[in-house]
Amino acid sequence: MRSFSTIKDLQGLLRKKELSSKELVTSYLDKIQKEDDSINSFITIDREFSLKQAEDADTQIAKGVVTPMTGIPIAHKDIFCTKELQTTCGSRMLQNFMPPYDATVIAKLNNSGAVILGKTNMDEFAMGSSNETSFFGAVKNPWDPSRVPGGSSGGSAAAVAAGFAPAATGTDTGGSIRQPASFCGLTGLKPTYGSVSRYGMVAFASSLDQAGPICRNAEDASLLFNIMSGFDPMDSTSINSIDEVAKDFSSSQDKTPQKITIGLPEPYFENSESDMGLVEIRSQLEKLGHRIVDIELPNIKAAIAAYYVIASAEASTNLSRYDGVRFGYRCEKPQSIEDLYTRSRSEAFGAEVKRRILTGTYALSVGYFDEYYIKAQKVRRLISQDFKQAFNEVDLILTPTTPGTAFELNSLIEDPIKMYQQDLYTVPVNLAGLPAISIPCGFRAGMPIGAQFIAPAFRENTLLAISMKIQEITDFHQQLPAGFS
Amino acid sequence: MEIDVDHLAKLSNLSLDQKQLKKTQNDLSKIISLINEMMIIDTSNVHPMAYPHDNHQRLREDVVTEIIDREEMQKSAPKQEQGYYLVPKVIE
Repeated sequence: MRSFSTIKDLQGLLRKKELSSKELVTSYLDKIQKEDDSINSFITIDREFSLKQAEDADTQIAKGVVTPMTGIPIAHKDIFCTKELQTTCGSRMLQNFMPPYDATVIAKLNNSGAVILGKTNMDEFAMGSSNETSFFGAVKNPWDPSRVPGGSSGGSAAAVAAGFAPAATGTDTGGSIRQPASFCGLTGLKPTYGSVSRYGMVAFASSLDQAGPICRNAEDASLLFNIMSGFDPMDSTSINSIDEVAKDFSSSQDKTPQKITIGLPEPYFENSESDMGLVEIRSQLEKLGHRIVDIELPNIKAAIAAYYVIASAEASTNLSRYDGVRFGYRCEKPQSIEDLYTRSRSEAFGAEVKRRILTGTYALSVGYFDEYYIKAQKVRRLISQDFKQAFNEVDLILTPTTPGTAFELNSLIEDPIKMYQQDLYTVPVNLAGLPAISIPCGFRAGMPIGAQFIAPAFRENTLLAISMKIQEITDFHQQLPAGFS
Repeated sequence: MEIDVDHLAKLSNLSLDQKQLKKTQNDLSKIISLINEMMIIDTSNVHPMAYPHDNHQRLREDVVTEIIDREEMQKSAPKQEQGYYLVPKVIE
């Protein structure tokens, strides 16, 4: 059962010297080698690289120089640049890309003594909600391999759910941490925009992208969040004030909100097929003494539309850097510079990435810029104001994370609209730049479901505290998928 | 609504074959209809929002903060020689 241990459990084993980091990392790598064929959650494993890091950690442990992460293996989404470790972003475009530097998130975790276990599979350039757009093949859900694990951080979620890693990093542009965490029965935190550095994270939609942890419980998520977050001069949108908030949380976990008010945006759920566990979680919250009230977010119905304009526009701009010249895929025998650009991009980008580039180009093109792009940015402000208004009345907002449980592989991939609508509950949070967490709140037909809490900016501490409280009185987060336990 | 996918592909430096073109045409029309759902929202007198935290971009002193090693950076290039990136002839 060691593979389903939390970071906290593993810390204990390493501290007591019951096993070395090298032994621990070896046992995870062996399990991945033996079992990952069935779910395809990793793109890159470099045994030598990982074992070298583990040996270094063991040296530190022997010297008594330890942090909470020393010797703990972590899987990283393949969107983070790792020095001298291939970084593909799930795309043929970066199939052979060897970054010359570490992303800040990677550097922070490396410096804390954590060991890189490997790079996890993901939707190509993080564009997808099912992990089926990866150039390296779809990832399968450990709870039911005929279903998707969610996306875009699907490999990270599947790897943790299958017991291939105690925790993983992910990124969330429109739900890419929370939705796969929900589909795989895990805890996923999408921090406030600007609290975790984007330096070295392959850009998709720069005003929405944010990195965060996917873990077995909220306690581990808070540990990783505290390491990953913090001001970084290398990211122009990094926020200076976060350090205080993060420290505030780690130093006093007993700052648990005693009695808070939680808003339930009722009208928002009219189209939901089921209650998605809200009945259960509501009664847990009331048991804990919290008050639940109905709230309104009047402009939320336009969130998906505004999101797909903004995300696609930023993606089309960001992905213009892939030209076959400085790094990434280059076509064979280009006849001219135009031919080099066009064939390199056409051969190396997959269908969904092309679709988003074209949508974004449309929204930004002459004659449509004001109609679509500026309009979407105005809607974005209204949605952000709706949240601000709501937070005058409530401390947190509660919603389902997803409209349903993990869907069947190949069931939505040909229908982009239905796929996009999966993000109904998650995208408004990115538009407003708020922090949100998804925690397991039950099962439907054997598949995990998640509840999402949304907080005002920089209130990750409240999200984590309430999640920990709920996880003290429930055991949904401790259930394991039958095929892997 | 008829979308000129050919033109968009040109602007994006992407080439699509006939089959892809048709599918993209169809997909984009559906995506644009989805996007049009936001048109019912009244946004008069609303200022567009580019970033979540309406902050101004930070400024810093104009000093060297890192030295970029050219050779190290160019290792990632698919074709390079003596510090130059190689591309097909641009000027005749």
